[in-house]
Amino acid sequence: MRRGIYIGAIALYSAYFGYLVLSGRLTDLVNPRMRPFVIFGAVVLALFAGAELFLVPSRRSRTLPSGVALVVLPLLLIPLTGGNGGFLLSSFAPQNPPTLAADVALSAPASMPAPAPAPARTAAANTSPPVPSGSSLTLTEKNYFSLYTKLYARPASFRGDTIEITGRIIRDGTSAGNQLLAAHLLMWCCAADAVPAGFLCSGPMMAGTQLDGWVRIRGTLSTTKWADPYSGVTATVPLVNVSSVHRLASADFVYVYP
Amino acid sequence: MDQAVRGSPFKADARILALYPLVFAGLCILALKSLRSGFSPIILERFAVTTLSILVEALPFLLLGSLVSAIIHLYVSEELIARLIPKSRVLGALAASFMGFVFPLCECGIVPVVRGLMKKGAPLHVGITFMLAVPMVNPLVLASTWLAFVQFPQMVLFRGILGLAAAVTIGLLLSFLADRRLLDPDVLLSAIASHVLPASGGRDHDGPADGGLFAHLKVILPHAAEDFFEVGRYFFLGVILSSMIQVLLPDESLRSIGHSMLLSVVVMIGAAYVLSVCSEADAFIARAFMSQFSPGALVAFLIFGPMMDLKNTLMLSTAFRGRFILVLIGAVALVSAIIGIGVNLLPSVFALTGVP
Repeated sequence: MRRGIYIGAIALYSAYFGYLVLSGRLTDLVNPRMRPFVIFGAVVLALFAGAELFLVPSRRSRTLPSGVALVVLPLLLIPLTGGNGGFLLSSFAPQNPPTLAADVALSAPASMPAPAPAPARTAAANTSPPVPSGSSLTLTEKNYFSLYTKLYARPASFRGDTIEITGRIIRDGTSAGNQLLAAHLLMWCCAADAVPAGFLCSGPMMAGTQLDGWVRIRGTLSTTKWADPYSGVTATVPLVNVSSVHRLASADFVYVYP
Repeated sequence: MDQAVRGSPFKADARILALYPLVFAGLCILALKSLRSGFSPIILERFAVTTLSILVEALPFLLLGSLVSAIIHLYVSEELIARLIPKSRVLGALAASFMGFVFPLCECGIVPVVRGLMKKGAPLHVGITFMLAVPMVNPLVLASTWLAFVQFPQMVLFRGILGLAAAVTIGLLLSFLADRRLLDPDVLLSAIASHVLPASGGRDHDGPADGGLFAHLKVILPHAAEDFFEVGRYFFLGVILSSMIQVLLPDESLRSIGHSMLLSVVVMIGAAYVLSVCSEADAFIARAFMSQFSPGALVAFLIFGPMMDLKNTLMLSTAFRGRFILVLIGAVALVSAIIGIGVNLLPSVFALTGVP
């Protein structure tokens, strides 16, 4: 019985990995560069299920040690994913429009802003062609990380440029006056390590507590000093002087990838 | 995996069953927290997404490790490995540690090999260094560390160089303090008599001499699948517990602990010990803690974890006396803590936290 459940579980993992790859939902969980490894995982899990079924002697069914429940438990979590607690809990969800777990990660107290670490900034700044000064920048899913690293590497060189960004409004104890952070989640490897990556936005329309959720912001770039509340380190970071804010019904994209 | 080292089925069951209440308690706390926030499904979804994302990312490496471990176990003899080790104490420890770069074995697969080495006359310090170094610096572990920390290649260097230094230091230190009397011959003999032969069925190094790919797969796959289950259940447990910790502990408290130079290192060494995550996948879990813990704590986690953890301790208890295992744990923890604190003293060199 226990052995049958185990074989079924690893077969289901194989099917789940395959589903993630084929449906495109893989990028909700892991960085797209993991795709070949996940395909490999799906194939090997299927082979292991077959090996357990046909090649492992049946006498081992009596000696298969405990721990099958630990293998099965994550499978039971699959219906909870996909926004508003997934289809299993969506009827209990008070939020409308749908809220993702990623939104919670974004709204959690964060080190704001969360600029790309120094090595990544340096690499991006050295290997990518410079963005011409005085230009208009629109951050999309494809260019977000590239422009983000450039802006944090050399914020002063973008002063006066116009910029259009989307992001989720983040509030925490470090928000001051009429400044807020609009951010996406930067996924290095998987959703578990995603951190907010966004821009400080300033202007009269950012004041107050009404503004929330996902927004599209247009403005002009300048710079400001920002002190990390935990390390106390102060840095010069880009600042968006907001000229217009539009609420979005849902995120155009949640995650950005290095 | 060698049944003798795995321990008796009763011990294996008791070990894993003892941790079930911890998982159950964590699930209860998650449910209560969800209820207290008006049955918000977001907490449960966050737990689900965190758990599944770590699994989807790390499981392929565990599978790869199981396959390679099975191939090594079936096709490479322990005698060949023993022949390659120099007799000099220092050279022996160095050679044993460098073998880690070519032996793709995790800490679970290494214990049977080390036992075999020592049974064939390899010195204790060589066996210990080999056991500590291989799971940390083997190609699969370094590759997964690179993938997890692709933006921070210095993490691979820290793990490879400092991990290697730690393994050699501990191996040599113990070679002066300990001798082969710390091996438990009674346990070894009884394990050999009662488990090795019947459980392995003579599978050690019995890959088919000829035959096509299918013939080889027919031997490798059951062994790899068995390895995968044996290691995998501890991996699943580690992923579930680490996800719970991430969801349940407020970011503020994690960050306040995580950026303490000393406490963060101690906490992550403790986490590495309890979580018992396979060294082929632990980099991804360390990566998940990156925004909450100091760089030195992450390095200590990545160096301590492959050398010593809860499941490894239990496996070691089938081959060594308890007093020696305690000394080994203490030595590994001390060296890992020193390295972690040392890294924390170099924030400008190792800027992991994203602080400009």
